[in-house]
Amino acid sequence: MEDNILDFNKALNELSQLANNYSFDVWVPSENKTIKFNEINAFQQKQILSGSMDTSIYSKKFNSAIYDIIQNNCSEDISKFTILDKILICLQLREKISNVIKIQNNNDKIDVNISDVIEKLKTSYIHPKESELKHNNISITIYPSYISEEKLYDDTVLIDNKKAEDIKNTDDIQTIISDAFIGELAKSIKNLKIDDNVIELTTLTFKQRMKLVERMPASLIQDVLNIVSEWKKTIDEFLTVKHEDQTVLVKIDPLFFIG
Amino acid sequence: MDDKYYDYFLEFPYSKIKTNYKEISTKDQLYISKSRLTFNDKVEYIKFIKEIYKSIVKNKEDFECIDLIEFLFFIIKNRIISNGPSMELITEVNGMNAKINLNLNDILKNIFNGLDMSLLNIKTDKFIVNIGFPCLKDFEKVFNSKNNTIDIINSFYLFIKTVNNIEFINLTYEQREMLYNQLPVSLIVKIKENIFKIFQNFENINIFNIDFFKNFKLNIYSDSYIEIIKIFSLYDIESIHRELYLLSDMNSEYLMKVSPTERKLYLNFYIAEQKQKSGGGANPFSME
Repeated sequence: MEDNILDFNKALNELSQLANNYSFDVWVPSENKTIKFNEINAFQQKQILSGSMDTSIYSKKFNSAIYDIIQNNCSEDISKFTILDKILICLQLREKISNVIKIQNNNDKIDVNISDVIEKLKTSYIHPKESELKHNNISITIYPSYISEEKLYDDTVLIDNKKAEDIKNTDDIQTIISDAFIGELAKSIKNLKIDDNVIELTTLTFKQRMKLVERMPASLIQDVLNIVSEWKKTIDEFLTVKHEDQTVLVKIDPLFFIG
Repeated sequence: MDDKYYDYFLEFPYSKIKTNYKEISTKDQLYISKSRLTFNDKVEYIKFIKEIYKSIVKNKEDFECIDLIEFLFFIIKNRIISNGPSMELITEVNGMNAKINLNLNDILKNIFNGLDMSLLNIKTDKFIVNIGFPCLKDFEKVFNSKNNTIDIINSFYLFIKTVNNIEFINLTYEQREMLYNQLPVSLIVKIKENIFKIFQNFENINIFNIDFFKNFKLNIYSDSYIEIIKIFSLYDIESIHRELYLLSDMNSEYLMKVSPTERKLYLNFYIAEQKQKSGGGANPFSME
């Protein structure tokens, strides 16, 4: 029995090392360079797919699985990778399973070649830069949120893990939407300047950040919202694929990782 | 017939396991034929017949590591040496009894030739993976998988024999699954593709090569695997008992140990003797 455990540990170690050498180049748009990533393994694929069983309305399990994979499989520091980088990374990790995905559209299943989508993104997509927005004596800097921030937000704010069955009435829906809305903005705002006082939001807790966002002028919030929507719209255009007379959007969700 | 001697030799085609073995005895033959009728639970049935077949091989430990298709080969092969290479089934076709003659050597060839052996080896720049059907010792794990895609895919680690120099089959299920989970997903995709192609290979085999059975497909995850084993475990129990009755002058303990072929030989002697005694007249107990 002891021999078996020794042999097994040796085998596990050997396979882990070999799998670690199974790396490939992944283009990360915010860095505008390629970075070595290990392919996902069968265990990680299962972790992602288990996200499809998550009844939480926030997709926490899926987000967490993807974050862990990026952290474990990337050869460099990931702290400055953004949620837009995450989309590109997921596409390139998925391409190793197969470069074709089937997307259900109405009653049809459409084959989408994700290598084409990746290529288009690599050649034409430009990651947003920091933007400064002003309103009277208040100015803010916004930037797509880092995945590390998203993880922190999920772990500290979304702790109650609300499920679809917990939504009982329209007030519940309103609270969830408004919290999510404020949360998304809080993730994107890096700093806040009032007159000459600069507050780095990243040094605050998410609950504190959300309190600040709630007190910002509505016109400023609207400007942030417009820019965040523009970031999403731009990347969605790349993820939208035309097939004959149909148009489908490639969604990065657990089912996207089924080979 | 002596318990100590295993007078036949066999090398299994996929696992390359070598063993000596012997014919089944009359007693085994009775148990094999009765068990196909008495066991409703497929796991219990395979457990039972596995023990019978294991008792007639010399290399008992390695026998557990032959794969499920090799076990089927062994059952057919053993039937050939114990009972002859042909088998006759009587069935009803369009309201009339029809005889179906099976050539067991042809059936062995059909199954063996149906599998594209190149599917059993997968090579990438860093990995050499050897796959094959799950081992006989893993049969409970396979049969307990529900016949749905997710359960079947989750049991694919049972198809891994070796990865590079790492032997999977002597590890625990948990260990095998952990090692499998370490493999890069592009390799897993290749493994799954090959396993599905192997399934397809078997789906396309017309095992019996006759129209009557053309829809009978060999699939280890469905009941067809058990049904095929049951076909080759089919013996006419009434005839066996009739033969034993006719040979009741012989030592019954000895008679239960002889193989079906040897028993038939004694029966032929007996019939010839009876014919001689009755002056060449018709024998009331004739088996023909």
